Amino acid sequence: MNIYKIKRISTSSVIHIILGSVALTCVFPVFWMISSSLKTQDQIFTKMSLLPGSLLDIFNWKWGNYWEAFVKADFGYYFANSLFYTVVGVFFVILISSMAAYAFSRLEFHGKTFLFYLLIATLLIPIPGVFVPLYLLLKNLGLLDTRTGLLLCYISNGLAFAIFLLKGFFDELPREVEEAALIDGCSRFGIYWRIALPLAKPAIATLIIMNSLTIWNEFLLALVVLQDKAKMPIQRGLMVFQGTFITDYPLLMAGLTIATIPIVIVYLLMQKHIVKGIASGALKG
Amino acid sequence: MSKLKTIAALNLCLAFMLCVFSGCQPKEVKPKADVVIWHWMTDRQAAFEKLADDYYEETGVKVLFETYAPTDVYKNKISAAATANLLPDIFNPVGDKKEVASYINADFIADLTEEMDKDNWKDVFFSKALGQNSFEPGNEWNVKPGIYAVPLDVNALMIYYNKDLFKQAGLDPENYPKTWPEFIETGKKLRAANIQPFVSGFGEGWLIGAFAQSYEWNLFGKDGVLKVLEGEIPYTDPRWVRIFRLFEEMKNNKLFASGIVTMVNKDAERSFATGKSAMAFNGSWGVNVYNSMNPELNYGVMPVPSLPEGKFPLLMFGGEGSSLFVNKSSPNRQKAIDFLRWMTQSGPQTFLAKETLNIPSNKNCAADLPPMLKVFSENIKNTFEVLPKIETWQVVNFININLQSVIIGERTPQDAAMEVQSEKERQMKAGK
Repeated sequence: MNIYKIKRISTSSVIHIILGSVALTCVFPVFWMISSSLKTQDQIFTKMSLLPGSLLDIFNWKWGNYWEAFVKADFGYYFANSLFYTVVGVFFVILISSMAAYAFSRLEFHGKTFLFYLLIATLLIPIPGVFVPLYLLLKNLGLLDTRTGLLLCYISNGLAFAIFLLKGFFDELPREVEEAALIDGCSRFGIYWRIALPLAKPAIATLIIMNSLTIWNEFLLALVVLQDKAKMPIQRGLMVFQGTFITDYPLLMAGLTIATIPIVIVYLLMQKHIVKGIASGALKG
Repeated sequence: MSKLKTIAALNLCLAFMLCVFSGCQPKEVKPKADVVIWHWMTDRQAAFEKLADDYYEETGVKVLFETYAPTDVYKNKISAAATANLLPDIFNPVGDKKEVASYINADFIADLTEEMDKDNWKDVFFSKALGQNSFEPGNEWNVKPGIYAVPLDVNALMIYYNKDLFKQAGLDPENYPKTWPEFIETGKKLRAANIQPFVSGFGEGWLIGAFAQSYEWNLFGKDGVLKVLEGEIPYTDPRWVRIFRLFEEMKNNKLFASGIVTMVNKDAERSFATGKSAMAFNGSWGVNVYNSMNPELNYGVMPVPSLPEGKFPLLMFGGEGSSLFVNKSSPNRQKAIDFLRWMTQSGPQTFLAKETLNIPSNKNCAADLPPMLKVFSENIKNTFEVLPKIETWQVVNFININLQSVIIGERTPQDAAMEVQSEKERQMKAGK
């Protein structure tokens, strides 16, 4: 074996060991979550094993925790609510931000730079800081305790970053293609719809994942804006298992596992675009 | 064609705006029940709902309990609703007396003194629980003297000890340490038997402060504690230095569990429940917590051991647990008060105690409590007295941080006391 081959193998081994270790630390909490969801409450504290029990005894693991969590926390309608908020919220974030980002990138109008930076500045405002004004605004609009009110909060919350990311992406697109389309008689909206938007797929995929994650996991706004239990998202269901002093860990972990599934599916569907999207938009922007 | 597209796009935008703002009309949130209660006690929701059902059957009044947790979110919701004048009929601002006072002064909370006097309602409660919900004449927040909340439960902080680990170290589990020297000796014997002697969530400032405050009452008495608050007795007084030295003594004798200074109470509870530590300073809620973590745990409860030189009774942190306040401007104010009156009678209180393993605020229910809760219940009378003044949060913070510094050996007790005194002087100057 020559020296180059040895060098290549050893470098590759070191890289794989490092990456493997990082991957393990990422996967471990997920594994712990699933394992805990199949234990009893006292097993979690008294038997610190990675598996819920012997593999031969797999049918006696607490699979019933999943059903109990689903029923006890009324996961059915919370799940449907979250799905609705996520799908509608992400759709409007993408629709509005892509149009706004395209306008910021291609159109010339007074105060464009100022408006853009003003929008970006809103990223610095933490959500708890706007609870009271938001509550008052929604009350005055008659949108308190309504799905529309919550959705508007989610959409406005996601817009600034989405516009920032997409503007960077649109800035990088070659203008020649658009100019050719203009010569061929395509309108501005047509260029946006037929050329810019399809080319921005990687960035849009990234935004879909990021916004889906944010809206799916959002909890604070929902609790402040909504009062009716029937309109609450899935995170409200998980709250049932967390008492002031006691947390029902097996049911909480079962609930978390259920709540994680849709977001994992979205990630798997979009993952091939995510790196490309972030690199093309945020870094160059 | 281009015009058509523009019109279509405009129509689309209009349709979207219509969809979004379809609910936009000035309207108030309609009440879903006669009495609406916002609370943060998720683990009691099922028991509360059962009580609400019973009350509906008895009176025809519909009560709705709505949970918003964790407490931080609940607090945000309450302050936002207060600003928008949309508070529910019953709530709790969740804060110290200063915060509660601000709600009372803003007319959000009803004065319940007259109601409490009717049919001697106030006599059913532990006086400590009621005291913490009352404002005395001449209080520093200028609140009209009176009772402003209804306590649901009470609590106290004591020391839990693991009887099996005591036996393992050759100690008599039925004869727990009653004085400080006995406590230190017990700790030494446990350590000699390779058992971690003492654990608590001292990473959470309030727990370490609560432990120290017991000794402040023990050494200073009520008048002395008040003089310290007024700044008439400095924190460099030898008795306060002695309090700091207690922690040094525990450290030198290796009583503390490793990492105690950064430990949150959840971890401390786990350490005790799993038999990794022999003694734990914790609240009465621990009965419920340990039962859920390890039902087999064989433990007892003892008061915080007093100092031989302490001239005054050693009191413990505790008193009111959770309380509910009535919205002053609620149209259903009387219905809300009537429900709270019903809820604090023996029947509902005993039910709540059994379901949630908390000590009821109604002192007449003590006989029906599980044995361990009974010990706590009997010690409610030994909790701190309610004072007309409280220490500023900055000084409290300094006390807690300096106690932690003593445990890790960063400061001597004298230095720690001087640090706290400097902060006290700074705050007094700022106050003037």
